[in-house]
Amino acid sequence: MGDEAFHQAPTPEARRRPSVLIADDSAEQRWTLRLALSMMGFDVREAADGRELFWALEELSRVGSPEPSLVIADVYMPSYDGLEVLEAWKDTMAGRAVIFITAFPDSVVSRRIESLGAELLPKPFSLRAFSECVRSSLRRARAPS
Amino acid sequence: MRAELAPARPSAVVIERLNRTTAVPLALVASLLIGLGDFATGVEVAFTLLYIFPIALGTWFRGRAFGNTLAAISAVLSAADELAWRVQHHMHLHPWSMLWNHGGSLGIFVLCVEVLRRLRAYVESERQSRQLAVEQLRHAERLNVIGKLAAGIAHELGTPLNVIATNAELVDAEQAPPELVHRCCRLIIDQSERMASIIRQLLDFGRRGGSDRQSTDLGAVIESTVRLLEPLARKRHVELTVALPKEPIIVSVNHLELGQVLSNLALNAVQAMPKGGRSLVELRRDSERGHPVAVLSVSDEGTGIRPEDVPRVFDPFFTTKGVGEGTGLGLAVAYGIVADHGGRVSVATEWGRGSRFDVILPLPYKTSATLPTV
Repeated sequence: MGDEAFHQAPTPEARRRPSVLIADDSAEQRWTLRLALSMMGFDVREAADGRELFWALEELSRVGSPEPSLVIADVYMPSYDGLEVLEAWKDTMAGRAVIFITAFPDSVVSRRIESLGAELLPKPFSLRAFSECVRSSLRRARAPS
Repeated sequence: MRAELAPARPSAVVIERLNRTTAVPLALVASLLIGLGDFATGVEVAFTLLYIFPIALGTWFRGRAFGNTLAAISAVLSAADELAWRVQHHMHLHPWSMLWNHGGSLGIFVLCVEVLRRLRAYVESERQSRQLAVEQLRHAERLNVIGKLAAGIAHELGTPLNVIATNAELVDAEQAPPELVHRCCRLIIDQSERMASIIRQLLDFGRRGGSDRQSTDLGAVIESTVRLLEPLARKRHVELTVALPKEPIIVSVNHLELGQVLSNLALNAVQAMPKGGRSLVELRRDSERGHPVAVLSVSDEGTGIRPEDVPRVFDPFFTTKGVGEGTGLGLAVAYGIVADHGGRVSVATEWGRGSRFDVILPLPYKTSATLPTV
């Protein structure tokens, strides 16, 4: 079930916790994912559109920190779409897990996601499918290829 | 975005029918007249060749059998002409020479029939394949529209549905912190309302046409719609101004639908000016290619539309607004309603300077100034 992760209460000593960057243009979607992820023991950072995601990754490439180890991005967003941005920062994303969420995964999008080595989670998804996807993509990213 | 349906031109059908029915007498009479002329001119070869015209006409419109019949009649006529001419002028008859001359003519006539028949078959097959291609194109376009709609529906409903499902699961499994349960439920309610509103708009989008129309004063529709939108505009620091012509413009429309068109356009204008500004709703009389039209313009000083987005603004589910502000159906609905009224919507925009949407409605040639109550 993987429920034990949910029972970890969000603790103030957040420095040790793995962190996730969520990029979605829907505030409600971000809020919901943030809640679910913090219940799973993650620290959450947010980007409200493609531009914010771009600058967050730019900062990541400069600082070179290993966290966030997971980026969850909506495919279609205003300004730049999630795919474009993550393709642009492909090198920075090496060793990190990427999950794309979209309500309309067409074949072109699926192929691009696959070639990035990312996971695709079609909307709408269940909480369980989401937490399993998060766990499996983190495991895959950590495992040396 | 809307394909112009182009059935076979009625004028072409009329010409075709007219010629199919008139080709027989026309070709026969022409052949007889040429026969008389041929006799009068002494069976000149140049004159004899004139038979080709009625033969071509007959073959084109009635086919090979009639063409060949005409060819035979023409050959016999020209032979009879020569015979009569020689008898009348007491000239010697050369049977072999006559056989050679008129057999030769017959050969040319039959050749002409064959060429014409093949040409006609070629033209016909070209026309059919073109028609087929147009049909296929139309079908592809229909599929494209359906595909776009499906993608739009999936995208627009997918996000709120996801938010609802996840929050419900979090609450159900008692995983959400107690202080956030209320917020989760609120989100579920809000997102359900959002989905309901998208579905309502989709129904509006699909349920157009066949609506009851009545003579309506466009100015009155504008004033009542703008009055409804004014509180919202004021809240966003937008000044809505209305400019109406002195003489009322009365058109047979569904005033509820037209009100929806105007409110969609005006709402866009207001939303295009996040820092506030002025929006003008103007009604005027104009003429377009000689036809009187009513032009309802909504202009704003907003952000304008990017040139690459202009061709897509009337596409269903195309939106540049933020999530929750627009579903991308407003302009598609407006376009559909105006098209149903026999009009069109055009857009003039400059990126960073603002946009103007014109609703152009055809007017009857005589517009009465007497004003029935709306």
